[in-house]
Amino acid sequence: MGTTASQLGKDSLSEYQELTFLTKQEILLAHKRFTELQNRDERNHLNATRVPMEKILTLPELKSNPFRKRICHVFSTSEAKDGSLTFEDFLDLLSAFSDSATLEIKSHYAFRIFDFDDDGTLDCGDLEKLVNCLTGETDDTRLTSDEMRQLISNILEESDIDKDGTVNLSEFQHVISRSPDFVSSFKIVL
Amino acid sequence: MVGIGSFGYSLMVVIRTMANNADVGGGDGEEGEFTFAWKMFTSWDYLIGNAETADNKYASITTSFKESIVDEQENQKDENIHLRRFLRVLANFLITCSLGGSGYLIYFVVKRSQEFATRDDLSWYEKNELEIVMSLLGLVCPPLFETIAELEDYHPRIALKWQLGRIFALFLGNLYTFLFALFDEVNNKLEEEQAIKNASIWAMKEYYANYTRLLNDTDATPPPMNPADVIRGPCWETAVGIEFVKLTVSDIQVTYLTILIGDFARAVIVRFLNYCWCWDLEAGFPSYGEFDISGNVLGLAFNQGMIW
Repeated sequence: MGTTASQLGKDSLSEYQELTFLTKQEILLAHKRFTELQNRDERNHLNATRVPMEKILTLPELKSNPFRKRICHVFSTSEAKDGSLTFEDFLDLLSAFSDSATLEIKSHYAFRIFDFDDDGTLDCGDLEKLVNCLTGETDDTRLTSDEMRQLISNILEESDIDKDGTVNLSEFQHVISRSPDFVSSFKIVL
Repeated sequence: MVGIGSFGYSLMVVIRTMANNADVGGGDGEEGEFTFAWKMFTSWDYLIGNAETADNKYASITTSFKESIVDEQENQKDENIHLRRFLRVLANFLITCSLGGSGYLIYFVVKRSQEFATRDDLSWYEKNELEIVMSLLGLVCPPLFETIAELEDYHPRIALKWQLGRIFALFLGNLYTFLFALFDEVNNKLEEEQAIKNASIWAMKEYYANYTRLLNDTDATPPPMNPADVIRGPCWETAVGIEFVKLTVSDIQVTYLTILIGDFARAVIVRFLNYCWCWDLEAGFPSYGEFDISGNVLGLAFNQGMIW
């Protein structure tokens, strides 16, 4: 009784399949990986328990991702805003990053992930943090502040259509929809 | 004057809305590559799971950013302001020349048509020369303006505005020169009419004088002459009306021909010849005709103006 991992019921499986972009295989795999992260005694109460962010970040798929913390925060439904995920949050995450998700979904979530201060727009502070994430955390790979300023002003010049100094969701989606690489790079598969 | 004013105003409104729409909607707006934005938002590969790969990726992203920043700075430095200004002045000069040239050409042709009116043995070309010239000008000059505008190296949206403004100037100028030339003709005809009226009054007086003398100073009534039969000179209204109708008709014909040849036949030729031609017809030179919204709408407004 204590040694077998809890199974995912058939009804839940079909329900999850309908509600997400994932196939049954993917859901089962997600279930397996998620229960491995949980403590033993939590495994039977799948939806009630939350896995804290630190454990989620041990997943190899997320470990090397510069946006891992933001991803957890975006998909987390926890009231404490601590980035912990339930199983359903985890499925949401995988669904948005799956192959079959649409461009709108991906760009919507990408926007939220990049919006570091959660204010609904990408302003200079967000963009700066974004660039720092992308260039690695070590000091010798960072951009100088001159280069940073130049970069941010170039980006705003390219994407900010209404010239209000920030990139809002529609401007972001406008840029992203014309990118040939976005859909293929914005993918996480277990 | 009021007519011309209202025509000019409606044209301005149309142009402004067109330029605005070209800004916001159309595909030719702020395109180009979003190099920096794409680098920022899409360069990370989320499938990377390995720490080493991630480090490599960071390094490559950093290098790529630095390179593009340097590139951008180079581009901005290279802009030789003086050369640009010179080219722009040159382009504007060329365009003013062509505008003036077209105005002069129309004037010249109208004068010639006056001479033709006196002769009788006119070929079809000579009879319709004025209309053909005007339609051809309206056809040839806009592409000419576009090629000259390549010199200017403006942002596409700004270049579009300049282009529309120039086409507007072209059409307005053509219409004005046409009108003025016609006014000249009308004035001439009015003078002729006046001269004939004087002559006929003089002839009438002569006739009375002879008549009374013939009848030995009796006060005979002059023969009743219906006022409508009074000799009237050339009727200028009809002539002007005829000119305008000819102009409208020939303009319509030229538009039909352009559409037929320029778009339809071109598409057919490109599609079929592409199999046996050396270079890719569809991508390169005579590709499928674009639907030049701005140009066509302007043409429509111009035709309306003519009708008014």
